[in-house]
Amino acid sequence: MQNIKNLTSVSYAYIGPLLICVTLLSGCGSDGDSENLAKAVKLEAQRQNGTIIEKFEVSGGQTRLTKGDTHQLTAMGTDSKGEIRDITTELIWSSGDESIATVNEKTGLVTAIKNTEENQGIVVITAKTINDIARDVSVSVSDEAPENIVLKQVSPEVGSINTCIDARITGDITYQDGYQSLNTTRGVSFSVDDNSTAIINDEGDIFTSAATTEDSIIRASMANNVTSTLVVTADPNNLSNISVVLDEEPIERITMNVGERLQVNAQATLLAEVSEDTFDIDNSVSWTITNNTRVGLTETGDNKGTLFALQPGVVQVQGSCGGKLGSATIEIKGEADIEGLQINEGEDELTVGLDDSITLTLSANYTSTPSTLNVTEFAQWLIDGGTENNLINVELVETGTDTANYKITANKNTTGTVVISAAYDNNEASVRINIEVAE
Amino acid sequence: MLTTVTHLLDAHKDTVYHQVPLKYEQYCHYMNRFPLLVTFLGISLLAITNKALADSPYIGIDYMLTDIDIGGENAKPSIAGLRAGVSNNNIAFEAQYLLSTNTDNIYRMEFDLEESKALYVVFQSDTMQGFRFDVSLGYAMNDLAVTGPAETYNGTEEYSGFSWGVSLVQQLPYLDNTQIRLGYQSLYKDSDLEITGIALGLTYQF
Repeated sequence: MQNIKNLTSVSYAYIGPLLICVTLLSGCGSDGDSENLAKAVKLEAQRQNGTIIEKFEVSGGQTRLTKGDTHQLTAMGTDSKGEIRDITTELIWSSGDESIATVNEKTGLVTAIKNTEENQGIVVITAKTINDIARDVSVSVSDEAPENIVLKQVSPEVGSINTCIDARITGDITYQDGYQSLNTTRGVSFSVDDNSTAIINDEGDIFTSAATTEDSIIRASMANNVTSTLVVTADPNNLSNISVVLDEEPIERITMNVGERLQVNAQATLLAEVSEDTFDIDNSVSWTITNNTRVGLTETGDNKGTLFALQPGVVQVQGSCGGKLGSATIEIKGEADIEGLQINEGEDELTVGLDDSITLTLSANYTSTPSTLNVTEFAQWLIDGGTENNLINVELVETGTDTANYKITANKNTTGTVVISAAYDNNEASVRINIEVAE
Repeated sequence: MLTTVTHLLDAHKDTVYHQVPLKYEQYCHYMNRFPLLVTFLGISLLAITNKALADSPYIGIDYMLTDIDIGGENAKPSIAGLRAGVSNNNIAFEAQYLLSTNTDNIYRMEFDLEESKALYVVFQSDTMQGFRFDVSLGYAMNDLAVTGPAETYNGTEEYSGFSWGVSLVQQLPYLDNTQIRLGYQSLYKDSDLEITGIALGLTYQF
């Protein structure tokens, strides 16, 4: 026992000084310059691969921000082989005044720190390549109100835009202190006249789909009652054809099994003399299905173009835009022998408090495989027991997914009862919703 | 041993004792420039604690294929050398000295890990069915020479810092006190450069 204690005490005495030595030594850094060595290696790799950047341009400068805003700068560079690539994350970014705006050294994301009137709030942001080619751009951080906005098309800068191909509007904004923010949509709200079928979002992206040439009046609104309008003409005559695309490849025939879900996209080409590029037109295309009892189609939202195989058979999915049509044939295999419908767990009654929400999911049960499918999105829903706006509001959510549901939100003031029914494939299910004061 | 240590400390007393508080850079400068001092310090502390120069000294030879990970590229020069240590009750104190045997290139840049010196505390598992697992914690000093065209990089620099390793040791059945060792070591790591290696070696336990 004493021998064991001696050995143990020796070990502990042994370790202590050794660990102290190691700890003291480990606290010191080395003399090597690994940062410059790494830079030299990266540069040599670029040199040998011909990817060393010879020139580059930064986009997103000359923009006014206010305190707390973030703004992404981007850079496109041309390498020694003449190829152009996005080099935003290859550059080293730095701010000339971090008390006003900072920039992420690796990503080029600018964060506005403080509004200032001094020098119109201008801060210089520098981007530098690994081989020390540098560019400066400036941003401004200020809460000065806008005075004027001039809208303009981005591509093409003049003339008609091509129907179905995403286009963009930006603005040159002049502020009360004389600063001019170029090519920006920050702080701008856009709208389109009611006579147009075009859609525009607050980033200034325009989506057009009319079969004939169409003029759209774009209106921009800003704080301080600053407004402006621009007429944009969308011309479908350059459109050549539309393709249905699956997994980034044009496809003419798709095979699915009952219960399977996939998403198709749409691409368009223009006349050869206009462009040889292929364009994604998911924002502008309208999808239809020739038989929606066999395949459910999500027509709008984030999952637009999602197909859900419901019953065996053959159907066509069609994408249309600008008077052109693209289609693919879908063959659905398997069985779908429906046994019945069920809302949620099959309850007859559900309760919801005032100003509260519940969700309804309609499941179709089958004797075949798969044994159950969420068919909420493709059923016909009927509300009985008062107009919708009096007692409840309804909304179909998570469309195009296996968790699609019918969201019921009770009004704030009135209690009551509503019966909601769902019909699908010659079957029905219903549930009574009691709107009560929450306990 | 104690007298020797005191003498060495006295010789450096102006820098060690009288420049208080010692700046971090100065502290590291001397610690890096006097590895012998460090080794003496370590061994002396062992002597002070007494009974530490214990039962089982050993020596070994190793061949290591290193991996230098820098700037998204890799070079794999090889090194070989000696290990020596003393072990007691599943803990060992070990010194390692390796020299370059082969260089490797990243494009036109030649990487040569000229020399690697290290000290470790080795935690050894019990030997079971002839096998043992070791974990090493310590400090390594690595001299890395890089040569290439003028527009690339030329220079020999020391990269020193915390080092660790794991190894599997097997007793050779027909050679008493002899083991074969397969190990993985991290010789150096910072945000831009990492030097690791896989080593194969033999150890003889006295």
